[in-house]
Amino acid sequence: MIAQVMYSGAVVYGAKNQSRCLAAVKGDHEHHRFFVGAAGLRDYPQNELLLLEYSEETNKLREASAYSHPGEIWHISPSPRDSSLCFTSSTRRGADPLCTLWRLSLPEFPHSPPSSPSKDAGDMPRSTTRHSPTQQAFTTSFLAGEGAKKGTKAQHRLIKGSRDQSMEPLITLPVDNDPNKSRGGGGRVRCVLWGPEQETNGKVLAVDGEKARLYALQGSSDAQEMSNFDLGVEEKGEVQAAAWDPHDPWKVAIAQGRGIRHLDMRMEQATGMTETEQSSGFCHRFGVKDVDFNHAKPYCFVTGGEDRLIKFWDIRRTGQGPVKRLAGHAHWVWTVKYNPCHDQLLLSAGTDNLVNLWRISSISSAPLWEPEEGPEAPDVRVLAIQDHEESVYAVDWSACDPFLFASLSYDGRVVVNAVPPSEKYKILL
Amino acid sequence: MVSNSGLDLEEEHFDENECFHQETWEDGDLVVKSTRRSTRPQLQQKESGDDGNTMNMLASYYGLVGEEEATRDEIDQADFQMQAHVRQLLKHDDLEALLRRDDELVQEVKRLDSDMQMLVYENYSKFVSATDTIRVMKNNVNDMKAEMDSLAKNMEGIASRMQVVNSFLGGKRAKVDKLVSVRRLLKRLDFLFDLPINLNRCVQRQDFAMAVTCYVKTINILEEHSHVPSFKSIQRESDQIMAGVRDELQRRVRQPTEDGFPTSPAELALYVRLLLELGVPKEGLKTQMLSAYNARFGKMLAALQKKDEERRAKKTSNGEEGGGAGAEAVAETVKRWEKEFVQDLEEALTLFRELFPSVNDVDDTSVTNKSREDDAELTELMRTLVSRHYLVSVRRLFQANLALIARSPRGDGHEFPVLALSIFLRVVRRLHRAGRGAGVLEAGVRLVLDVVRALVFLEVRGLQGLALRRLLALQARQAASLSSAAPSFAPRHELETFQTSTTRELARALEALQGVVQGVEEGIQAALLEAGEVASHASPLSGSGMKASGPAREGVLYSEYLIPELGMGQYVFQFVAWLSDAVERVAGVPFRLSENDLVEVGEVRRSVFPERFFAHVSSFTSLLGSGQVEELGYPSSAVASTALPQFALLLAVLCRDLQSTLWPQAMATLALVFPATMSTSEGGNLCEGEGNGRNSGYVDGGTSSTSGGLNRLSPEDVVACLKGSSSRLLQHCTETLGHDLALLSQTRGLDLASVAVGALEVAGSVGGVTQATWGKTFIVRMEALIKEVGATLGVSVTGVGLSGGRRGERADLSRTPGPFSGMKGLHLDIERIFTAKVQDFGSPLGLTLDQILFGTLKAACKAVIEWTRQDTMSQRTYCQLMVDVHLVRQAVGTYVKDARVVETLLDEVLISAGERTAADGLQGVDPLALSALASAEYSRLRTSMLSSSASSSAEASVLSPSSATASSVRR
Repeated sequence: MIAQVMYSGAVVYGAKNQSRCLAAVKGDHEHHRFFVGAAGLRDYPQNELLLLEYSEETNKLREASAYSHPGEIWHISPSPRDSSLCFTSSTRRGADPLCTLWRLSLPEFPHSPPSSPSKDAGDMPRSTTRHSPTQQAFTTSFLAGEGAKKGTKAQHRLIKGSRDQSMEPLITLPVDNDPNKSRGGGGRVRCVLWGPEQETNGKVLAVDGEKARLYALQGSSDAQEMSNFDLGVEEKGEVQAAAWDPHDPWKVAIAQGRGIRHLDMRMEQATGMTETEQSSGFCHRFGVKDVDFNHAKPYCFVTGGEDRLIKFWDIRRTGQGPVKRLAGHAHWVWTVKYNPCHDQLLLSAGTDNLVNLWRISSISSAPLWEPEEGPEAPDVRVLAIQDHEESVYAVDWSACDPFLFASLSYDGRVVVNAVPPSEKYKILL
Repeated sequence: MVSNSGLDLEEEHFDENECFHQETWEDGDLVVKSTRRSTRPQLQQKESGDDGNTMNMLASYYGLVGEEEATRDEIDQADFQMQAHVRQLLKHDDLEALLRRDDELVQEVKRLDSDMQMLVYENYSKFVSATDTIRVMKNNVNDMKAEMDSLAKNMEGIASRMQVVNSFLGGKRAKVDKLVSVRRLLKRLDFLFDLPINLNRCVQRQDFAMAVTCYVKTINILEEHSHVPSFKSIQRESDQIMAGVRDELQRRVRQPTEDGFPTSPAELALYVRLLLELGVPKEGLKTQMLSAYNARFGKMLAALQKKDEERRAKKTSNGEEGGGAGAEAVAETVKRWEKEFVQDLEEALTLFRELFPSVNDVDDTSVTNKSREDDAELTELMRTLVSRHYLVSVRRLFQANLALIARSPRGDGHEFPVLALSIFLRVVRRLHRAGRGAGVLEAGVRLVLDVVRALVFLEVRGLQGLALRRLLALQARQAASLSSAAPSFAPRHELETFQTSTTRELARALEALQGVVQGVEEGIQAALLEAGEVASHASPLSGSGMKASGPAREGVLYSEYLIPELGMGQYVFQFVAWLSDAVERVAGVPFRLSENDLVEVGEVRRSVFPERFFAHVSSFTSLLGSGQVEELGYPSSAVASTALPQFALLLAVLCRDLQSTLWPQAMATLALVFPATMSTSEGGNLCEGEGNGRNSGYVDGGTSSTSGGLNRLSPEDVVACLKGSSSRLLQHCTETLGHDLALLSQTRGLDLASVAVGALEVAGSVGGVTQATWGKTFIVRMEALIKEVGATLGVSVTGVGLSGGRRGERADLSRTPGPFSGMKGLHLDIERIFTAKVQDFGSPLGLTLDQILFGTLKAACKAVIEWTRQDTMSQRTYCQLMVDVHLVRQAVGTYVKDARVVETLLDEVLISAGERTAADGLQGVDPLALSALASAEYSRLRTSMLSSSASSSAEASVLSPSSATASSVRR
């Protein structure tokens, strides 16, 4: 089901299923492509991995292809090098959680404009209506292996000749599953990180409910576990997210419980938890939700948490508390994402259904200078995107244009937005 | 007729005489005569011209009076025409008038006749006497001639004799003159030849003054005659001696304290004066003299200090020193020092000024930059001396009392500082008088002001310490009461106690400071006024003396240094603002939110108290001579972060109350104690704002906050501070409470999942569920919360909650029992569309029971929703959750007015849970049975609650129907 609507400057797409994860196709620098993973427990086996594509020419967001995926998808981690490779973490009822590397057969980017506007106008974005029998019929038929897709879009794509949208499991990482141990998804892999490009080529870190495991990928068929680190979940709280330090191929930051654990993978074991915020023992009251590194400035990272705040840290000075705090959410900040090219820009989203775009110039690698506003450009919230009606669990920047980003709310709505030109020029000029 | 014509002649004659006189006075100005003659005809002509002609004719026809009068007047005129006049009279006047006129004329003629006779007689008698006198003179002149002849003869005799004497004495006189001059020369030569000897003698006698005088007197002559060898040698010799003298003098000036040389300022001044006479350059001497002073007085001060320290050491060893007991003795010491040291210094300054007049005393034309610089040297010296003197003497007084002051902010120890400061100011004034604008005043006033500021700081710090301790005590008491469940803690009472005592202390501190400020202020005013008089042309202070305007030095000093942050208002404002900060820190609310950004409380504190303020602190304390100022004992952030949410609530209420009670009271006290703080126009008070033309005072916060880098607060700022703190604390409270409540569902859920596996078989269970679990705890917690919050807010809680006996209005409405059967109905979607898309879980809430409960419930529900979404549940867990949620849902109506929002959120919990439950969902379980289970549980719980609270609040619930409760809760 596809909808493309101009919605207060944003392009909105309503996915069929409840979805929790979205990721830009990192390996594809030519198209604005995003993976969206459906996460409906009851929808099994209809969960899909959607590949959405945004076209600047038509200003439309369309479904490029949909892949049937076993189980609900909790996490997507596309390969930064090969756009057809992608890890997903999923759970299935009555089965062990899976963490699988897939090879996807990607569709060609269509050069002709997609379906007629009249049809699109008729499709309004909508919230979860998962029990439409017609849809069920479509998906069932797709799953039966015909490769057929539902709705006008699917037919359109079939005509274009992208017939074989299938994905092939390459590697399945072993996952411990002790259902008694942890609530909320058991031992599923919370996140998979691809190592930074240089030395760790072919390294992957998977963080599950208990441990962080470092694998060496051999080709695209086998993964050898190199080491694993016990995260002490019982004591320190559950893992929420993790980020690989782009400046140090051996360092990973894991958002765990109320603090951040800094993992040095050269060590035998997981190092001590860095619990920051001036000896108060936590980074965020109630819990940390996400962590992301500044790609341009070493040692700097940002966290979001259940205390509604976004905090900026410097690893070297975590004891002194955060470098900066932002408050712009009315409930938990579920995710924070630095812009990979311009560290003045930051995305945050949370369970208050809000996506915020910030310009945090003062602590960026290249502070902006605005003559009329004093020596330094102030840190401001550039956009507050209110196009979501449900908790937003994922945002990501496009891999192709550093000023484009997408966000996904629980009801499956994907919103693509761009940094306003004025802000863009401020940074570029 | 004859008489008439005679009269006419007479008149003619007089008139001509008059004219003649005029002519002579005016030196031939003939025009004068003619003008007088022609005045009337001209006038007449003018009148008779044009219309005037006809007017005249008419007038003459009707015989107007004016015509007649004019003619009658003309009787005295020269061109009087007798015939015409008579004719006119005869023609116009009746007989009687004619007769009367006749009489008049006759009398007039007679009077004139007698006048003329008298004139003639008088002149005649004068003539007779003159003739007599002339005759006498003629006789006398004849006698005189003989006398004159004899006189001439005598004179000739005298002249001839004179000539004889003169010629006789002529030669001798020249000789005498020469002798006299030779003698004088010899005497001078004698002096000159003896000069070296004399000088040596003087030097031996140490009579340098005499030596210099002799030398200065002779040196010019010697210079003049230096071509004579003997003179030259004398000059050389005496020059040598005097060079020795000069060296000796300079040595003495330079190192006056060595070798037991006399070093009194008077002698020093003498030496310097002598050196000046010897032509030593002024500038170098001045510097030397100053350094000499510096060394001398420095040593003196050091000696004094040492002596004092010894005495103190002796005293402490005797155990006498304690508190302010020795203060009087110290004051004595200070007075003695004043005698020894200050008198000396004063004398020295006076002497110095005699030698080197102040810039201010010299005419402007002769003031060069050089002399200004020299003055700066003196200023510098005086500044150091004054501050050193202060350090030795005044500080001493403080040390005796500082402990006392710092310990109690009740102003107990302030008399001594004031005493010390006034003594010090007196010293400063004396020195200023002696030094005439040598910067003494400025240095002194600065010191005094620093001390005052330090006292203020100590007061404020003392208040802060007390308030903080009280806050922590409050926290401890509340925590104890909550943990032991003993209701000995009465929040309202505690809050009031806190406020009243803080207000009282604030007022007391203000009054104490008033004493200090007034005491010091008078001294400063007097000093500044004096400065204005002494150097009035250099620094004109305006009439009031204190509202200095223009670039006057004292004015600048006063306005720039003395005023800005000394405003007592600012200190009070900053104290209250600090209080609101401190409250947040104690409660563990770690930041304040600005629009987009967060500012740490610590940063706010820094901005509330200007940087300069803190920069001063160290200098304050060093000035006061004490070690450190007590650090404020904030709890560590780790401790603060574990503070109970109830405490945050208590403090939120406190902030609100501070705003309504303490703040206005503080303002009132301020207005009472420092009235000038409250008015912006009146000058003359220490608390006054910047003087230089700017409309000062804190009232116009716009300019004042930006001025001078000082962050001044306006009353509005303070109120905003308190308001902000209150709402932040409240938010913190609801957030934490909500989180805690939400956690209930998690722990209970886990327990059940792991333990009750075989519970499906238990009799009476629905879907394996027999009773509500965490829901009950939830409700119990809510009930407890209502009581706590109500007590803190001081509102009646009857009618709220289950134990309040009120059946929620919402629940009374015939609504569907709950969103059982998954509830994915259309109406919920519609509902969602119309609710706000971005839900606000952190908005500032009103400080009412309803709003607090509402916020707490919302936060709790939202947390449960999010957790549920990440979970995967079994059917049994789902059923359990349903029962509990439904139980809570039924109670919600009794807690908040707008239960709908909370109910919707609870529904969403179930929806999310439903989505996260196995595909078969409620297969085999009757939702209605679950609902019934929950309802039964609810009524059971309600009855037990009611019965437990019935005894305590029976009468209250009777008294307050729900409407009355509503209003009281809403406030």
